[in-house]
Order: sequence, then C-alpha cells, then structure tokens
Amino acid sequence: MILAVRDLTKIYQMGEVAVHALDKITLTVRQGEFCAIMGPSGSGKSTLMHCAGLLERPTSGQVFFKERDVTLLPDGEQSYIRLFSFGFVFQDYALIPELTALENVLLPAFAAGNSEYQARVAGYDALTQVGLYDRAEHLPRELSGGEQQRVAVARGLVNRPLIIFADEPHANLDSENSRLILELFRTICDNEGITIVMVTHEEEDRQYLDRIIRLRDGRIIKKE
Amino acid sequence: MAKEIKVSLFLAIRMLLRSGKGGTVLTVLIIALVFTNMIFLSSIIAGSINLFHTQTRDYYLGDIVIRPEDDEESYLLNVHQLLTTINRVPGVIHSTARLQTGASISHKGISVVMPVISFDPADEKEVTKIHTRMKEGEFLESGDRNDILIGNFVAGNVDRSRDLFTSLGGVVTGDTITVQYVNGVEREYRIKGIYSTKSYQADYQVFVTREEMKDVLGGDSDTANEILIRTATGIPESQVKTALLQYGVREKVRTWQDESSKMVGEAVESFSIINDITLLVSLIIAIVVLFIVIMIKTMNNRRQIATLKAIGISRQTVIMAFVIQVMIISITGTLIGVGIVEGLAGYFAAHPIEFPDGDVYPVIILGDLIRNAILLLTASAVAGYVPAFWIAREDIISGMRGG
Repeated sequence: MILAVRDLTKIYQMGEVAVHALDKITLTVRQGEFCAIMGPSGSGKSTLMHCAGLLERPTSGQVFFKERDVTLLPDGEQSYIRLFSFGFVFQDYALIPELTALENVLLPAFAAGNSEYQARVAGYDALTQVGLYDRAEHLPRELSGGEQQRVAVARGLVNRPLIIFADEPHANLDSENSRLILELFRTICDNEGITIVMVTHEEEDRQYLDRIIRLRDGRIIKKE
Repeated sequence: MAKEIKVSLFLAIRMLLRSGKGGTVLTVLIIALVFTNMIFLSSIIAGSINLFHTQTRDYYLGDIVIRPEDDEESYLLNVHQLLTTINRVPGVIHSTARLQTGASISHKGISVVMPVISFDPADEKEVTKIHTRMKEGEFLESGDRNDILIGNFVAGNVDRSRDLFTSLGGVVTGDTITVQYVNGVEREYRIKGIYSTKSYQADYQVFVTREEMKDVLGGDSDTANEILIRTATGIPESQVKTALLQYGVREKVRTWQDESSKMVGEAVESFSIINDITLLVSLIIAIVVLFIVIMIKTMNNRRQIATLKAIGISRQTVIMAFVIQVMIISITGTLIGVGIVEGLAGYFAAHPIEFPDGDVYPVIILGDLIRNAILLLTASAVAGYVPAFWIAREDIISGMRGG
C-alpha cells in the first residue's frame, strides 16, 4: 500500500449551507497501479485527489502515505512530500508562463537540492521521455495544449516520484493528444512502477487503467 | 537556506525579465524619482548651508576669529605684536586686525547708524575675499584717508522699498557721505567702491583704512576689536586654533565652525526637520507605490504562486522570489536615481540656483546618499514582503482556482 485514506471527509461551508464534498471515504492504492477516480460533476473526485495529494486538508479522516499518517503534518513537511514523492498534472497544465518548458520541468529538481546543471540534465531527460526535447527552450504560450500538458507530465516526473496525481489531464485536449497522455501514463506506470491516481470522467480511458473508483455525492459507490 | 535563495533567484530573475516590461520600467522610474526627491532637497539645503559657511569664511570672519577675552567693550591690545605672533603660527597664512567704532552715516538727509570698521587693506586682501566682489569702484588702498568702502546693502536702492535694511538710498561710487563718529569727529568721505558678496552680514558693513581710524580716534590706537585669520588649505582650523593657544595667544580664539554653529544652529536644525519630513514622505510614497505594485503583481500571479506551492516549492521560497524582484527593481531604481541626482548636481554646478543670499550649488553628501539608499531598500523589502506573504498564505486550491 503506497497511499490510503480512511474516513476522509471534506465539508465546504457555502454561506449557511454545509456541502459534504467527501463523506467518510476509505480506500487504498497499491504501488505501481494506474487507478482512476470517476464520477459525475460534483461527486467529489477532484476533492478526493486534492486531499490525498496533500493539496488540501480534509475536515476529518486520515491520509496515509507509505503507511504513515500525513494528514496533520505541518505545511513545510507536506510541501516536502509533494516535492520529493508526488508529481502533479492539472487539467489546465498550470505551467509558469515566464519559464520555458525546460525551466518549468527542471524547477522541482532544482528545488530538491540538485545543482542547476543536474536539474537541467534531469529536465532534458524528462522532456525527452515525453517527446519534447526539441521544444525545451519554448515558453508555454509557444506550445500547443497537448505539448503543454506533456511538459506538465515531464515536470511531474522529473523528481522520479512515487505517485503522480492527475486531475482530468486530457479534458482540454483533442483525442490524439488525450491518447498520447494516457499512453504516457501507462508506460510510466509499467516501466517505472510509478503509481498514478487520475481523475477522469471519460469511460474510454478504462482500457489504460488498472482500477476504477467510482464516486457519487462524495461517497464511493463502486470499485472496479 | 542557500538552496531556497538559489531557487528564489532563479524564479525572480525570469519572472522579472519575462513578465510585463511596462510595469517594471514604470516602477523602476518611480523608485528613481523617489530617491531623487529624497536626495535633491537635502543637497540644496546642504548647498545653502555650505554657501553660508563659505560666505562666513570668505567675507565675514575668515577661518578663525580672535576677540577679547572679556566683554564686547574691551579691545585686543598690542595688536601689531599680536599679528606678528599669529602670522608665525604654523597653518596661518595671514591675519588682519579690525577696529570699529559707532557712527552715523548720512547722505542727502538719509542717515544710517552703524559701526565703521577699519582695516589694513593689504592685510585684509590676504584674509577675506571682499576685494574680489567689487560691484563698482575699487577696494581701499593703504594710505586712503578720504575714501570709504561700503557694502551693497548700505548703499541701498533709490527705490527704498527694495531695501532689506535701512540704507543710504542708492548711493553710488563717487558720492560723498558724511560720517559722524561717536566721539564727535565728523568726516566726509568719497565712496571709493561698493562691494556685493550677497551675504546679508558682510554686505551691511562700511570700511575705512586703519590710518584713517587712528586719526579719527586719536592717540595710540594699537588696538582692535577682532583679528581675522586665514589658514592654510587642508589643515583643520581646530588644529591651528590649538597651535595659536600654544603660541601664547591668550584671547578668545574661535573657529568659523564655532561661530557659524552659534549663528545658524537653529536654521540648520529647522532645515534638518524639513529634510526629515520630506524624507519620511518620500519613504511612505515609496512603500505605498511598491506595496501596490507588488500587491497587483502577486494578485496577478496567484495561480502561479499556488502552482509553485502545489509542486512542492516552499512558501518561503515563493515569498523570497517576490522580495528579490522588488529588491532588483529598487536597486536599479536607486542606481538610476543616483545617476539623476549626479546629473542634476552637474547641471546646477554649471548653472547654480540663484538665491537672494547667493548662488547655491547642490552638495551631495555621500553619507546621505548611502543612508537614503539603505532606507529606500529596507522600505522596498518590507513593501515587497508583506503582499507576497499574504498571497502565499492562501491555500493552494483557492489560489489555483484564482478566487
């Protein structure tokens, strides 16, 4: 077990109304599996990913990473885990517009304590892995949506994390680029043993997946 | 920490170079102008004080002035011997003795009551620079008996509303004036020259030669009210003062600094208050401008900040990246400000600002330059840190959603 959540609950206060985005969710994720969280809009799938990825604190419940309860760790320690052990890919790519593709990718490696040269080498390796070596010096605005998302995947990969969290990574892409991204995840998973937790609502993605966790109204309704 | 600084620097440089140039250039310019404002007024004030000091030394007191130890009614005695002693003291270039007596000076029914001062013109030329500031006519010469030298404010204007002090109503060189001394002696003098130093104190004086004064006062008048001394350049006046005391000069010896602190101490203090207020206002402007600029910049970068935090970049690193950007902007602005100030100083050195009491050149004091630069950079660091700290505290998901 690389990741687990137990009785995870997230309540958003919208004025006087309390919205239960997650309602006592319990699940485990095994190392090296490519699992998807699926469900309709508002089912809580992104919230689950955010809480499990330590981007957001749950209202109650626990998050375990490598069997250690990391729910209440201070910001600095959670940041450390995200830097060294997690990678993130977001629906809107979330690249830093002032940095080139290479700089976006090398940044986590540089922040992890590598020299700029070492980080640059790691950045080129990651960009090569996603097939964008020759686009390294381009700014995000000079890249297509598919290319930007592959840069984001390379950034998620650069520190060789244990888990990559992907929040609807191909929702903004055409079918060809979507296929490229999913194949990339499958390859990473198979070749490097990196666990991938992906939020999606595309049923066609199931051919790439090891497991699907279906949510509705903040609860798990089915595990496939 | 070093690792975080490296990453912050990496981010700051790129964000600064690749984000909107217009805003950055504008902020740099604002900082440059704020710095100019901080320095320029104080340089004018320093220039005014400097002008007063120069005028005091060149036209009024010399570098050192010796007066009787007792009250103002007493005299320095054995002046001839005293001058000989003083002129032998290392660091003294020359000295001149001045003897004054009260008088009423009149011309065509207009009278001015003031002291008439006597000196040896040859000695005076070695000590003061009044002879270089002749507005009209000539300076006195040894042996002149029927001639008088008067200051511009004593000569005055035909239109007396333009006079700052009671004057003779616009006398000119060659006019004859009557001097009624306090001892009852009355003399008529031809105005040999009128000088104008623009110093209020120096230009409200009249002079006759020492021989003429001896004749007026009668008897053995080897006395003086004061002796002015010119010292060698590069030797501190205080050092010469000590030497004078060591050579046995037992009178009241005061440097021009001693005298001017007495004369303009309050003025300097007032200028200093004005300067401090200007400085404070400038700093507040700088802080507010930088705060707004950085707040807007950080607000526009909320998503990027949240993204950086999401991928594991520490909050301190993100904050530092913004503070470094502000510091780069502020340092550049300050350097440009130094350039502007130096440029203005150069311009006004060639075209001095004309004040009623003389031409003022801005005097830039290195200490002020450094102190103000440090103040501005400190203010900038605070103005950069606070908004960056606020925005970076926001939780990641809210930041990534941009709201």
